[in-house]
Amino acid sequence: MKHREKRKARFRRGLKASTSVNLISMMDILTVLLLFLLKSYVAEGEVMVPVKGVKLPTSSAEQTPRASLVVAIDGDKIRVGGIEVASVAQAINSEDPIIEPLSKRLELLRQRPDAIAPSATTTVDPQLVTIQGDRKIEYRVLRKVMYTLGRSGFENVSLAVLRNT
Amino acid sequence: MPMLNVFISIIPLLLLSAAFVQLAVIPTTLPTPAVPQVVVPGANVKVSLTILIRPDSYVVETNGVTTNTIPRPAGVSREDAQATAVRAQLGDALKAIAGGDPKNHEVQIVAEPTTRYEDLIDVMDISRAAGLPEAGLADGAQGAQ
Repeated sequence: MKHREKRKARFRRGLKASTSVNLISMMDILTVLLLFLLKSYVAEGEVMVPVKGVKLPTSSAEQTPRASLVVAIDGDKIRVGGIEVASVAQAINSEDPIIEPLSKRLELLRQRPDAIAPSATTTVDPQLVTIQGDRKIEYRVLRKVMYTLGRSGFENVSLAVLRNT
Repeated sequence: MPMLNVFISIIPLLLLSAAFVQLAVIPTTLPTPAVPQVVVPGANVKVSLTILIRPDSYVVETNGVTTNTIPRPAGVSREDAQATAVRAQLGDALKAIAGGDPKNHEVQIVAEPTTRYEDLIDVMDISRAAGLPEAGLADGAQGAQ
């Protein structure tokens, strides 16, 4: 009986000792992780992220995107720099080859190129536009967007895609 | 441990907003009207290569003359074996033409109004793999609609 109780007491003591968390090693891991994440943010400050709601097509293209004005086209809307400017239905139904609201927004941005830059430290080619189009959009929509871009003075157009892995 | 609290709050925030998706871009030119080139027999002119994306086929034209018509299955996903075989066929046809004129790196892609964006990108990829990296968009007979 005595033996058993002694053994139980020893077991409880051992259990207590092993349950304490070693905070120092945890802090080390967290510090390394934090530094790594912050460094990748600084190094990839100009990285482009896919616009929410847009499923980009996959491609074997390897050219990395540069910081630029982004025109996103999803199933319903056309957005410039995250701001909705026109609907896809409106663009399709119009006889005009130019999408008027998009043209107006682009004119505004042409006058204020500093508004295109995502941050004060980022340099942006004022004539470059990246189109982030959903994989299902039709060419007639893309064509009108590209035509409007050309007429508004944005002649360097790049199409954003997801890199094949 | 206030420091630990700060770390635990910042790390998930950074991880959530981190860009794990790798983006790439394809530089392209603005759509232009596809003008058929007039070829004088015997003259040393640059080969003008055009790929027409039709709903049921890919048509390859060299200087306005149809050289290949490759039927493509409708309503088949890109990963389907049949679609892959058609893409390989188009790639081979383009390689044969590009091999005959190694200085030419340009190709015009003529799409129909209802051609899907992913099909355009697909043809651009095939052209690039065949040695024609400079793909431009052009309007066909119905392209300007």
